[in-house]
Amino acid sequence: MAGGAVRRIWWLDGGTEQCHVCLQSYAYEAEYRCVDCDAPICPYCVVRVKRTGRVYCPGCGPGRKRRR
Amino acid sequence: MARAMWKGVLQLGEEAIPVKLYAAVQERAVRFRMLQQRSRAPIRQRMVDPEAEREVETAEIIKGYETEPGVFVVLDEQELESLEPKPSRDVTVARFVPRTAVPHAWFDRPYYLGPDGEEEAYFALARALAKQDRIGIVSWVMRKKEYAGALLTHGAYLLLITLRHAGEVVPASALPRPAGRKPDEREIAMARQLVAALEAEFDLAAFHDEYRERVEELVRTKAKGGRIELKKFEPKAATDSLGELLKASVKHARERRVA
Amino acid sequence: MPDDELQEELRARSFWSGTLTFGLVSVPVALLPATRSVRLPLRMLSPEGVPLRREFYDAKSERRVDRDDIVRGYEVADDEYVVVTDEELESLEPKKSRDIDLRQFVDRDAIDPMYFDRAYFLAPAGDSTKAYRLLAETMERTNRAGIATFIMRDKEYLIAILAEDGILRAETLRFADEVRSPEDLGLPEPPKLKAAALRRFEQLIAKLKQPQFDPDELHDHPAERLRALIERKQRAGEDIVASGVTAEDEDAGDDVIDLMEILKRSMAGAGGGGRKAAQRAGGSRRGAKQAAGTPERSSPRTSARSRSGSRSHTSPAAADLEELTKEELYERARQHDIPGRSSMSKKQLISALRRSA
Repeated sequence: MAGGAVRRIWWLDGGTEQCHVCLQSYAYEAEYRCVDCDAPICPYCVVRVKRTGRVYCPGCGPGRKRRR
Repeated sequence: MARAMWKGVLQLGEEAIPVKLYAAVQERAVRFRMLQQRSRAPIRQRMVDPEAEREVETAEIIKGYETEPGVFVVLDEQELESLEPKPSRDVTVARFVPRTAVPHAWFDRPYYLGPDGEEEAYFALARALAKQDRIGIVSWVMRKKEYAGALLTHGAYLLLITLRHAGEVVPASALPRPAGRKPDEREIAMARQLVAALEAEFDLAAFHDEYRERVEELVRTKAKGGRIELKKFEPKAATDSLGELLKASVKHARERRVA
Repeated sequence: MPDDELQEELRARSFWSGTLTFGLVSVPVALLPATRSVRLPLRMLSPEGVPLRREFYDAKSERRVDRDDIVRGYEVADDEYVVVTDEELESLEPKKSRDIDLRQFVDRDAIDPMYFDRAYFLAPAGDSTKAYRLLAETMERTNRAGIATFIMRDKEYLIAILAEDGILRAETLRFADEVRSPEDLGLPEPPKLKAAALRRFEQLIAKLKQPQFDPDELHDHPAERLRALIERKQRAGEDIVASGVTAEDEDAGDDVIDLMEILKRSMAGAGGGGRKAAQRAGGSRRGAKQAAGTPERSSPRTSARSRSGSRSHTSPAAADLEELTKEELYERARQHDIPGRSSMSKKQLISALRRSA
C-alpha cells in the first residue's frame, strides 16, 4: 500500500462501536453480546466461561466487576 | 422455559399489559481469539499513560471529553450517574404507524415479548396489531439505558425491535447521486426483464450459512496438522457492453427457470 | 483526485469490496456502513489528564505485544489454539468472499424486520458507473430487493440489496437459525380470543394511529444531557485539564466522518464523473452532515480557544493545524497529495502536513 501505511486489520483496529466498559473502539463484527443481558461488549472486556463456552459482560459475568 | 432478560409493562392508552422480554438473536458465528504469534497466549489490553510510559490502574482512571486537542472537560462518576434516566418498568406506546413506514435501516435488535400474566390482553393486542398491519413506536428504560423501539408481531406473539437514535442512520439523500450518464431506456427495459425472470417469493428458510461449517472444518484440519490450499477469486471489472450482456442474461435466466 | 487513487482508498477503507453480479453483468462495489454512532466519545485519562492509550500484552508473560505480532486462533482444547489466517478464511469460499451474486429478486416489504442486522451503502468502485446506475434505476422502478449470500469479515450473510435515490444500499440479514422462535422460548400457546377484547385493542390502535414515522423523535436524551453538561462545565471553566496531549486515535468517531467523505467522493467522482457532480457533493455537504447528525464539536471548541495558551510547547503553525477538524485536515492532506492519508489518525495527519509544509 502507498506510503508504507500500516495495513488495517478489521479485527484489530478500531471500528464504529465504542465499548461501554473500556471506552475503546471496535468493529461491529467483532462484538460479543452478554448471554444474560444482551449488552454489547468488546473482545477485550468480554468475560468467557470456559466450561460452558458462554460469554458475559463484566456486569453479569462471574466475579462481576463494578462497571467503570 | 427460557429465562426472561427483563420484565416490564406495556402502557398504551388506558391499558397496561405486563410483559417479559427475551433476547431473540442467538449468535452462531465461529469466534476467534487474538493471540501472541509465538507464545500463542491470548492478548489482553491495558491502559497506559503514553507520556509517563506507565500503566494506569482502573481505580486511578478519570473520564473526560476532548473539547480541543489536548484539552479535556473531566466528568466524575456522580455527574455521569446524574445523566442516567430514571428507572422505570414502563414500555410506553406513543403511536401506531403503518407496518412499512419505518425504513429498514432504523431497525437494530429484536426481542420477544411474552405475557407475564393477563394473557388475554397480550394476545388480543398482538392479534389487533397484525390485523391492522401497524407497528407501535415505543420507548422504555432498561438497565439504565433509554431505548426507542418498534412494537410488532411475530405469529401470535409480540416482538420489540430496538430502533437506532436520530442521526445514526445516514439517508441515501445525504449522498450525491453517482455521477455519469443516465442509463438508456432500452437497457432499463432489458434489465427489468432480467429482474422479472429472477423474481421469487422471499423464503428465508431456504438460505443456510454454509460457511460456518467450512470454518469449523478448517479448524479441525489444521488441528490435525493438515493444511489447505490458498485460493483467491478475482472479481471482473465493470461491464461496458451492457446491451449484449443483458440480452444473454435474460435468455439464460429464462432457460434456467424452465429447466 | 485521480480515479485510481480514489479506488485504492475505497478498497482500503471499505468493509468489503468486490463485485455485484446481476446475470452476466458485473458491478464493482465497495461496502461502507450506513449507520454511525452519534455518541460523544468520552476518553480515559490519567489523574494528570493525559489521555490513555491502549496497549496489548501477552496474558502469560504480561509482556507488551506489537500489533504485527498478533494472530487469531480457535481454542480446540484448554489453552490450545489453532492459528487461522485471513487468507485461509477467504480461501474457504473465494468466490462468495468477493462476489455478491444476485440470483433472486423479491418484494422489498416481504422481509420480516426482525432479520435485519445492519445497513450499508454500496459505493461504485470501478472505472465506469454505467452498470451501477442501470441496476439502481431498475431496482428503484420495480420496488424489488435483490437477495444473495456472501462472506464478509469471517461470516456468511444473507443480504438484501435495495435502491434509493440512485444509490444502492445493502441490508445484512440474520439467517433463520440465528433467531430464536417463540417455541424455543417456551412462550404459552395463544388462548381463544373473545371478540370484545380484540375490538377493544383495535379501537385503541385506531386512536393512536399516525400516517408517518418521524425519525426525529428518536432522540438520544442521555447524549443530549451529556453534551449540555460538558458545555456548561466548559463555559464555567470547571474541571478542565490541559495536558496538551491529544487522544491518539486509530479510533471510531473520526473514522466514521472519513468513511462518509470517501463515500461522497466515490459517488461524485467514480467513472470520471463530471465537475458538476463533484460540486454537488461539496455543496450538499453541510446539509448532509446535519441530516446525518454529526456530533457538533465545533462550538465548544471555539469558545474554549481563549484558554489554549496552556499549550505553550506547540509552535504557532502547529497550533493552527490542531484547530482544524479531522475532515479539514483530511482535505488539506488531499490537496497536498499525502500518501496513505485515508488510514491516518488526526495526529498523523497533522504531522504529515507539517512535514509536507
